[in-house]
Amino acid sequence: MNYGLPLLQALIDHFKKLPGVGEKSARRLAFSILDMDGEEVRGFAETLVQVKERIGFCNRCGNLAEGELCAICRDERRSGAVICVVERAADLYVLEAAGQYRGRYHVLHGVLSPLDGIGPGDLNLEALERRVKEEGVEEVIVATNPSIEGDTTALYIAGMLKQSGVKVTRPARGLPMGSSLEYVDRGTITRALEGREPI
Amino acid sequence: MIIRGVEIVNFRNIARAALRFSPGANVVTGKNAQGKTNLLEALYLFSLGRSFRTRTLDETVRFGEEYFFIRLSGESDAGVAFDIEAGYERGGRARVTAGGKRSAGFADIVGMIPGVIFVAEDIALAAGPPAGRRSYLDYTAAQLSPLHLAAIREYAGVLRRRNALLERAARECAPAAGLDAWDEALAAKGAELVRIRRETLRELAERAGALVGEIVGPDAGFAMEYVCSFAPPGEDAAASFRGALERARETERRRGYTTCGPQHDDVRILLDDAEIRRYGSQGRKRLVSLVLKLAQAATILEKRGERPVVILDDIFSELDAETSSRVRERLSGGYQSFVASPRPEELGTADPGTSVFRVEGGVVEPAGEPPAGPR
Repeated sequence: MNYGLPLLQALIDHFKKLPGVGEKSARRLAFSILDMDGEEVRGFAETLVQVKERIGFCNRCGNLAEGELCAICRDERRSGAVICVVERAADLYVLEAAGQYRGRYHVLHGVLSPLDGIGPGDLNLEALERRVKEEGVEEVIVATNPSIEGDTTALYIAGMLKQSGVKVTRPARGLPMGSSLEYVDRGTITRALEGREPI
Repeated sequence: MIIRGVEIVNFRNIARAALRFSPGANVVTGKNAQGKTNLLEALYLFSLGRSFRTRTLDETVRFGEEYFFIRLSGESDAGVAFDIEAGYERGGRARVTAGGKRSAGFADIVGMIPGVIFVAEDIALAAGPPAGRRSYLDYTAAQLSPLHLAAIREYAGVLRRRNALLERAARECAPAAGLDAWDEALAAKGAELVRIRRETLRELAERAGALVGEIVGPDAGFAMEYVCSFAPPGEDAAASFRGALERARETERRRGYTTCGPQHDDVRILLDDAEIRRYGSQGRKRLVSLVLKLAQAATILEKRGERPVVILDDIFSELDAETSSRVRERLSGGYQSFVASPRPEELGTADPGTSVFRVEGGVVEPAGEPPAGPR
């Protein structure tokens, strides 16, 4: 149904392309746009266009950036001695939200995945190798997901950086904080028990 | 573990069934092709996480119907009640709920109900192709710890990806970029799999040895050993595997798949100090196959502290009277069992604690009750 309003239907169809948005939500969002005042809608639309036009990748680490370098690479207070490697920029923001890590990042834009035909040449790996050589890096933390692909990508990176003598580490696996044991799957529990630590 | 009851809707030729089971022996009788095995299959789905007869669940939905539903209830040896439901719609994914919690599917509940199954083909376990002995080991290991199950799956997962990489490289005549990392991953997971299999086999061999001793005599000359296709015992399996992969590299690039690894390993079984596969009589081969299954039950019981449910699908016709009575004697040692047989009179169904079910044309009913009239 297009209510005899093809423009509105087009807007609904655009919203439906977004992740997690179905027909109903798309309709709600479209109607709420109609309810906004003109200035606000203009600002919204302008932002959408600008986001796509002005945000690119950081020349150094591959993070999202509104210029040559991302905010993290521009921040002088952050330590250049540690680089945390992540699969995608979204993972970086998850780590940043914890507020603990003060080093820099490197975004791979994927992981090794033969089932999808993705090899080392498709990832942002050469830049990582160069950075380790040039930036006086002491440790590389490979925070790819704990999956077969993520684990193997970590092995690949460890192999690639072996010559450089840099320390390559992987974050620990265990029980999620603040959750109840009841809701943790058996594999995670068993792995956490294997990796237990003295108090 | 005791299965107290089951409800079945539209599974194979069973339209509807609601049954209460004995904690001892449950004998399922009926003529051939009436649905005896279908009932056992429904129970075993919950232990193996898949059917022992097919890989596609579509086949298990009753003809002309769109879905099946099965609910199992029972209790652990410690007396904790459990409740597992599974529903499957043709062409969809299985929905499995354990204790009111949705799980990812059947794969997620493997080992939750420990089980040992013996079907007619298992008579060839001791002397048949190596694949049967490998899955015997893996399936036992998976029931002992979820970590084992994870390791088995991870090895298979890495192998699949490495094969995809080799296959593409061979097809495109291009170098397999990143192969070193996949070798490293495969060697690590493969070594872990071999370690788990060796450890599991040690447990199984100890119990199988005791059983053979009791049945055949103290100097039966029985032994089981793991034959790793790339690493002799005592050697660093990961390093040996890496070496084997390196040597196989050219061949693998040409063929486009992995040619070595634990997927080629075997278990060597000796009786009377000779390899049973080559030198054993038919009777001995059958006996050892049975012993392996009984050892599996004993290992699960001891290492997990939970009695496995034992499922026997029409195997007694394959055994002579003496062996058959020995097996039943062993089982009466405390396992709940489900036994399908067309000739129940040979099974001593008059024993107290034995429930008998009659299956005819997909209708399962407790025997001893008058047949239901027209509804």
